[in-house]
Amino acid sequence: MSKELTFKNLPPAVCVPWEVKAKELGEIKGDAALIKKEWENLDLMGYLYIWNWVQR
Amino acid sequence: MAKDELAGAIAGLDQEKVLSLVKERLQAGVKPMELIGNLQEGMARVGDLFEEGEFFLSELILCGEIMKEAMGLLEPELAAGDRQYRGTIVIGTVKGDIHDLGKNIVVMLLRGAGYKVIDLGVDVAPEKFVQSARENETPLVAMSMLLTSAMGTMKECVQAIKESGLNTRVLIGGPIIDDKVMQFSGADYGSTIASDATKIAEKVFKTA
Amino acid sequence: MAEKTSLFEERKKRYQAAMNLEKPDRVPIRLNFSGEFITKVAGYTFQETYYDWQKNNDATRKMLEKISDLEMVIGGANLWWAALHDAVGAKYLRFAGRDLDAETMFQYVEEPYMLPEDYDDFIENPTEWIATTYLPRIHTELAEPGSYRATAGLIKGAFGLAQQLGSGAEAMASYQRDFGVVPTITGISKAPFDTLADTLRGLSGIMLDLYQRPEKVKKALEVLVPHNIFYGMATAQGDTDFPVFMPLHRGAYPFMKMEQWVEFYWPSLKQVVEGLWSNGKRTMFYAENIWTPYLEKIAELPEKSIIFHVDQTDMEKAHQVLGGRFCLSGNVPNSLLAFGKPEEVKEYVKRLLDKYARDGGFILDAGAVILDDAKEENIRALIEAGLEYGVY
Ligand code: B12
Repeated sequence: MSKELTFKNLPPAVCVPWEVKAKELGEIKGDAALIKKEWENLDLMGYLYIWNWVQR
Repeated sequence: MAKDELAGAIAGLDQEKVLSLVKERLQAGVKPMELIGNLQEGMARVGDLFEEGEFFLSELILCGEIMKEAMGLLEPELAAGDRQYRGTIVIGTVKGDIHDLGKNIVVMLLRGAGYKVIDLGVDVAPEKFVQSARENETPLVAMSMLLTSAMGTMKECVQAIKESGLNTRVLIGGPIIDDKVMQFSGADYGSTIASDATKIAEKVFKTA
Repeated sequence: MAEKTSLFEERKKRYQAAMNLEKPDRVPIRLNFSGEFITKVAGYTFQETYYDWQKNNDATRKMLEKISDLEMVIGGANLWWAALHDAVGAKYLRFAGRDLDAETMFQYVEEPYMLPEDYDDFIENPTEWIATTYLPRIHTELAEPGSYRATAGLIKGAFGLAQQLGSGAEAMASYQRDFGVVPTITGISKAPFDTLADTLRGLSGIMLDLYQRPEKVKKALEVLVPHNIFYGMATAQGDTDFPVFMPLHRGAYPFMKMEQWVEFYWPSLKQVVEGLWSNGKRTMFYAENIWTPYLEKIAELPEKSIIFHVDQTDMEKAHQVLGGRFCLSGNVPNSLLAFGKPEEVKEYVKRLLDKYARDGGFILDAGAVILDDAKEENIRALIEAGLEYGVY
């Protein structure tokens, strides 16, 4: 039944953790904090979309 | 406390004991109908306990599950025509309303008490109640309602039965049933308590 | 415009004073209307406002024009946009005009959409489990992940929700601007037990779980706590001026016996309320049906952290046990609003306020969500009575 989960124990607000993404991106040439902030913002939108179907 | 051990096990919600007693007795040659009688006795006790505030919904639902499993063991053993019912009752949640958890509990208790229950589901239109009452020649139709906004259709459902010329009583139930609602709807019986359904059925079927 | 702004400020002040157990100039009036009531007052069909989100938002505006002195609204008429549910193929909802008559209230089909064997994955990562297992199960368009239909369905669903929320926020701002109404609530969350019981396991499922897999239930509830705190804050977009809505479903009497309530329902709910409160966010503790046996436990929550809403709970006892600790609201019977006469409504409100609102910390509202059976004249009577007898 159980599919392999990609991630375990993710906190609220997170679909794909920035740490994981950052590792995949490798060296970041410019402002990493900016990229992180925007990543997390859209990640949060995804999170809220997913939970919206359950929290009703 | 119930006299019979099996009935006592049902009332005690002891799933393992219920199932092992059913198996044991079947093997010893006890008639399935007799075992169903024991189960019903236990179920009636559970209904009483709920009414007395000793048992809660969680326990009713667990009891229903145990009953289902026990019946699963018994049904293959029942020969066609073996099963005797105390009568047939038609039930449904009235049109415009889809709350059915309460109704399902009533169904469970009525089945447990030995009635054949025709469950029309939710959002049931007046014509459907009448049609089913006619087909099944039942002296009792039960209706459930939770929404105050379904009061109008509830009344239509009751009236439809009354005007159908059938000799059928109507029982309405749900948390908002009170004297006002009774008057408004014109139903014969009303209750906010699931286990009342079996008591009212008993009354109706005695005179039917 | 300036006049509406001051009206807004005045109402906000009144609402907040009551929530803080103070005595405002008078009792605030908060009415929790269903989409169907608003739709009826506005003169639309149910199908129109379920499907056409413009009309959905316009309906509230029409109601505000028609019924004067409404001080608060939640937003547009309905909570759920039918077209969005069509886009994803929602199995669990039936809508007027599609599979129901145009004038029938929507229907929710309750099933155990989460199975007992899903608990482990849910506990390990609920967000991923919902996305990869639950959504394809409840949404027919997503049934085959990776397929064209599923991909399109996902995209449309996300766009749809964004569109719905965006237009909802715009509408709310316009009601505020044009009518000076304040939002009844900002954000929504649930008791973890209700999250699990309502949309996931269903009533029979969760009740059997209490006996058959109690440890998994507890673990799942524990996992839900931070999510539910977060969800409340995020859907409120961080606002703490107004309370978060928490409709409490399956903790009412007589769902569970006291020991079960204390073991399963209460601890995680308490943590969520406390967590929200530590963020400065108050909870509208919308206690549907009867909560009388649990009042003493509820009194354990931090002072002022909730508004305790009375539906069928014993008002006298609620006042005794919780009054002076939390703001109270509700209690006007919905059946009275549907079947009573305006004079009876006024009489009821007068008695209610005389008895329970005298010391402040009280909000006037119906016991349950106001459905389309409520008579407009009775709503007017309720408001009039509030304006008349609610003055301190
Ligand atoms: C679960 C629930 C739902 C579920 C229903 C799932 C289902 N399959 O039934 C869902 C989420 C779908 C739902 C939907 C809605 N709901 Co609802 N729901 C509830 C809730 C939380 C519990 C009801 C319940 O199941 N109780 C448990 C059962 C076992 O109890 P019961 O039905 O009362 O039955 C007992 C007795 O009444 C009696 N009984 C019942 N039927 C019968 C019949 C007979 C013959 C007899 C003898 C006895 C009897 O026996 C039972 C055991 O004792 C209540 C609030 C609450 N906590 O009570 C709101 C509540 C009933 N819902 C309400 C509302 C408003 C709605 C919606 C309109 C929501 C909306 N606007 O978004 C929709 C309605 C959709 C529709 N078309 O019907 C309101 C009704 C308000 C009003 N003015 O009438 C309530 C009271 C919540 C509130 N306080 O606002 N709901």
